Amino acid sequence: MLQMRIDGRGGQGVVTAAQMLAVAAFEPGRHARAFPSFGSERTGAPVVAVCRIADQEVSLREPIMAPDVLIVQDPMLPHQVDVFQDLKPGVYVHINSRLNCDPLGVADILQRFRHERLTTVPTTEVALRHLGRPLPNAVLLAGFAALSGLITLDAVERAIRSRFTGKVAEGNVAAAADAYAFVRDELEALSHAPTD
Amino acid sequence: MLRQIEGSRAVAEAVALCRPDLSCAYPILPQTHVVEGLGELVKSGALKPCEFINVEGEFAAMRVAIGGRRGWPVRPASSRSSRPNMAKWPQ
Repeated sequence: MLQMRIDGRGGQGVVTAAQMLAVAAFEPGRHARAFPSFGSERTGAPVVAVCRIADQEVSLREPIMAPDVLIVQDPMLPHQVDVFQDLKPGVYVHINSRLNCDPLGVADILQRFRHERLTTVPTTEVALRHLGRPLPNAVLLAGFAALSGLITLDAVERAIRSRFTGKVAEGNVAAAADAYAFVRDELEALSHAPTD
Repeated sequence: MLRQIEGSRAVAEAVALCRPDLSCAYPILPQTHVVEGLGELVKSGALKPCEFINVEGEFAAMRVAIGGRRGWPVRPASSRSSRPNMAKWPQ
């Protein structure tokens, strides 16, 4: 079973992202369950959504403390909430930022993880370019698809279209394709980079 | 065909299968998405002749549902949380 957690803020589409991921993973015949968890219901408050993907039915409804994949939708969130606590060394970490891990001030924490599994994507910028609004959810999903290879870009596109229609759907699909290509390039560069 | 949908949406679709004539519910957690799903189904015409009545609160939704059932014999559908509202019931 793959366990995934998305940390973000209210209004960024964290809940929708987990839901779309479940739909994208369910389509090829897997089982998936996604649900959110939040405290105060206001824009900007920290929000957590989790998604479990498995070949068998998922009946677990617990929060995920040590995910296999962590998506951080707000680069400032790690300074407020300890999103990296309890993570396993082999975790995939995907951060929404146009900067890399050093200037974000999280490089020290991330040193204990495998560097080729850490990516930062300027998701907000990609979303602004294609949607005109800083809504990073669909874009981050495409980035995750590229990073993990667990879901295809096609499945992400279909999940977007199942949730949105018209211009919003088209904008999100274009943004997703953009982010997918960006992460592919970034991974390519990382695989050729020196390890120290 | 298997389909992955949100739990609240599944509740709305289950309610729709009961063919309600009247839907009255107030969208607030935990039933927001149930009410939205039901509203969409009514608007799309899939539940004709079901009527969706906007109400100002959860107690109003309950009153419309009870009134609709007793005064004007229809099958009403509503959605609300139970215990928190029991505590808030106006004396």
